[in-house]
Amino acid sequence: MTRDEIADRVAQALVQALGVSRSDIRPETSLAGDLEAESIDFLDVVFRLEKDFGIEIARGELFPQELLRDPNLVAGGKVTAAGVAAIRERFGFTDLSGLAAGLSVEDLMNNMLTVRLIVDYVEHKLRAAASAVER
Amino acid sequence: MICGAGVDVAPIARVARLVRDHRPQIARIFTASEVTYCDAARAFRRDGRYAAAFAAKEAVLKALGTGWRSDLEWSDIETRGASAGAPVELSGGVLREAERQGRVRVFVSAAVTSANAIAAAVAERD
Repeated sequence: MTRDEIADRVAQALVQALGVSRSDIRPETSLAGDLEAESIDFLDVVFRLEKDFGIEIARGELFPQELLRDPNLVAGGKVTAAGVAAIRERFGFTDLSGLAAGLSVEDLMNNMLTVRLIVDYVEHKLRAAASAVER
Repeated sequence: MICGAGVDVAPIARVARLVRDHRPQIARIFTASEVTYCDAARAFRRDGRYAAAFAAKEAVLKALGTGWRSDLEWSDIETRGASAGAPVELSGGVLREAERQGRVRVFVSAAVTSANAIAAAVAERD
């Protein structure tokens, strides 16, 4: 499956789950900040992605909330340098070069989960599954 | 001593769509007991029960001060109908969180209108 095909199917899943227009969905669109997705919407999105792509999305693979409770990773409501490193390690499948220490947790939660991140994640999962089959 | 409170509103149609579209996966949200209770009712009342259970789970997480987190399972909270100030059954990560806080009892109550379910939860510790 090409990246364009993955992106198109991800967009379709978001349209169905969130009831938004296809034109609302761009790579930089964030689910919470731009599309106002709530917890029930995230469940819907995860279930659709699992079904549409035949993948299993483990807890925490798309959402870093439990990392953000670690006092070493967050201080005063802002992500620390260690927090940035931990999140980048967890989300190594995507480009988080814009993530910097001092970002508020609220901004992170609103803006981190973008359409591009989801496409990167699905592409990474499908590639990992394909290489596992080849082995 | 009351140490936390939470309230949530869940649109019945939204929860019904989630349940309808993802029936094989709803065990990750609702316990077997909750599914049995909700499915025992017909049509709109059934949808209202699911929405009330979902709102109750959200309210419990707010009462515990966590909100939804990826290390907590929705099915860690069993609402037992959530209609009469009943204590909820906690398990897994949510129980660990409640115990970590010393908040081992959470009570919840829910009501349903034609469009929404609303639930309130209170966390209490000795």
